[in-house]
Amino acid sequence: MTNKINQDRIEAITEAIIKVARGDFSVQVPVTDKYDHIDALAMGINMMIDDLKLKEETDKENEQIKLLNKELEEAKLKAEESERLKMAFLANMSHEIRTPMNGILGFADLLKSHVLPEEKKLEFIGLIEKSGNRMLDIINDIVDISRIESKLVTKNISTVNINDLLEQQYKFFKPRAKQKELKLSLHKGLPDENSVLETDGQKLNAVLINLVNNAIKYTKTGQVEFGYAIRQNDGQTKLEFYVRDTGIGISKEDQALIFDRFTRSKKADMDAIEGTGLGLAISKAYVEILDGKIWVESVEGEGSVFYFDVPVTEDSKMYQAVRQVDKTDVATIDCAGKKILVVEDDPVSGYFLKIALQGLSNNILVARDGQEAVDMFMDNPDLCLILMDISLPRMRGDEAVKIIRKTNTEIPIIAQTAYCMEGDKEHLKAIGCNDYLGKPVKMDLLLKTVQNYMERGCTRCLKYKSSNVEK
Amino acid sequence: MNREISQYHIGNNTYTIREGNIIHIVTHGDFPVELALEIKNFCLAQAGKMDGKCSYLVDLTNCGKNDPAAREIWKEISNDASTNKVATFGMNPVARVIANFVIGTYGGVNMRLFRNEKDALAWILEGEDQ
Repeated sequence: MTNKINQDRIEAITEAIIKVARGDFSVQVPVTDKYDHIDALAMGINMMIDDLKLKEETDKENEQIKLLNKELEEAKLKAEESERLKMAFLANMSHEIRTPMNGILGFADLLKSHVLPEEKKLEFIGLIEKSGNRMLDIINDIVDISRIESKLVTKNISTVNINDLLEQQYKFFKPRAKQKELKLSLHKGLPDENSVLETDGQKLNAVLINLVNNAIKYTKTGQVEFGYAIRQNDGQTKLEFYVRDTGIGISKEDQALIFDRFTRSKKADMDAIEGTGLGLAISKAYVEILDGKIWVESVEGEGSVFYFDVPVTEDSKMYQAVRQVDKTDVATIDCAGKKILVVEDDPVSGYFLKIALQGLSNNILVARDGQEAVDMFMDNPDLCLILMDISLPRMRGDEAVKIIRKTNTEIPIIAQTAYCMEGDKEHLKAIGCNDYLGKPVKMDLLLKTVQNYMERGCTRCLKYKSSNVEK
Repeated sequence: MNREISQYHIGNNTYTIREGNIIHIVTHGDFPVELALEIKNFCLAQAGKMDGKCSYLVDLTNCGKNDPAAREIWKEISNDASTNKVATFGMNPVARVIANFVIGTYGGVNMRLFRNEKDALAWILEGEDQ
């Protein structure tokens, strides 16, 4: 009988040990009032379980403390960085305010203390006015960022004609671009009647003004181009705006920072270009209020492209119009992933083609001469269509077509050229071009022609289809 | 020698203040942390009233489980400036296990385990006449 009881007690201890081994520290072994060796064993095990449980809890707490310390360290670094940025901002702001103040007070002083000819007076008044406007811009920036930080900025939706808005900006910035001898161009992604969107026009306007203003400010020579295109991403329709310049560019390191408050690119600072460093932070906040996102692509010394998008809601006129166009013209085939090669030596024309075709494909390559075109054709076996300029440096377009046709007779090649003389079209067809577009290329004809050939099926598509049929 | 002066009860435990600055504790049942805290406050208060350091004579014969936190409190009592020695004793194997857990937590030299009260008391009084 005693043996059986003891056996049960040992069994209870064994069960408890098994549970502990499986990580269950809630188990306790019964201790009798005999206080014999088995009870001692049970008591020891109970107390060891308590210790293990405590250790586990302590380990967890230590892990949490470690995590907390890490977060604290990160927060500390962030706070220090924020403090540093604020100090830099204050220094910059002080400079930014003092500079126009210098102009205002200096010329006011001159006006007060000198007998000046009328012409000079007007010039000085003009300079005071200019400095005053610059001050006002700074104050507006500070007020805007304060309102954003206080979460006082809300969305005010109204019907906005995007083309009108861009047109106004083009007219506004044209004189300034001309003054700097920059070429300013505007690309409207939709016809006027379809460019109507329900959005916050003021914020959209503010973002575009800031980006175009920056583009002109940071570009010494070359061009500034801005515009928009309709994009379909992950089932969402978006209006994607861009502002492209051939300015000083932004380093990779600075690209990650320029949308932060009080931050300017190092190059901008080094070149002592005026600015508070708030414009892009305000733009980012506004774009986010509009449920969009903003980003930049840039190469230092070559230029930058700032993009931002805003959603096109399904109940908007623009969405309906685009859907209508999609149904009739574009959406009959899915070309989004198909690769198109645009061969064009003129950067502006090349860029126009790239933007124009982005509605058909999101995979567009650009070659600047015939040799590059041949190389890109060789390197990209999944290429679906080539849009070939003819007058090209290094290797002419028709030479490139001949080389490509030696290895591939299927890929559609559409010539786009200013050679519009009688016989040119026949010549191009004879060397292997499937079609011909005369410059200046009309957008609707370009889209229809390219779509027509892509719909028929490119080399890759034909191979894919035939292999499926064989199966 | 070691005449009883007064006796108290906290929980199931009995505390007898004896001559020679000795608190004789007879434990009974488990020692959760709340009880251990109460005992600590009581013991240190009593020790504070004594002229000189206090020793503890702890009977573990009927002692139950000591929580890890309760063991820490024993450590605090043993470590206190008012404490001279802590002598624990108990004949049964359970008492030995508990005492070793408590002493193991503390690790100090002024706490020891004895098989019986006589040996424990002798250790406390050891060197007193010198």
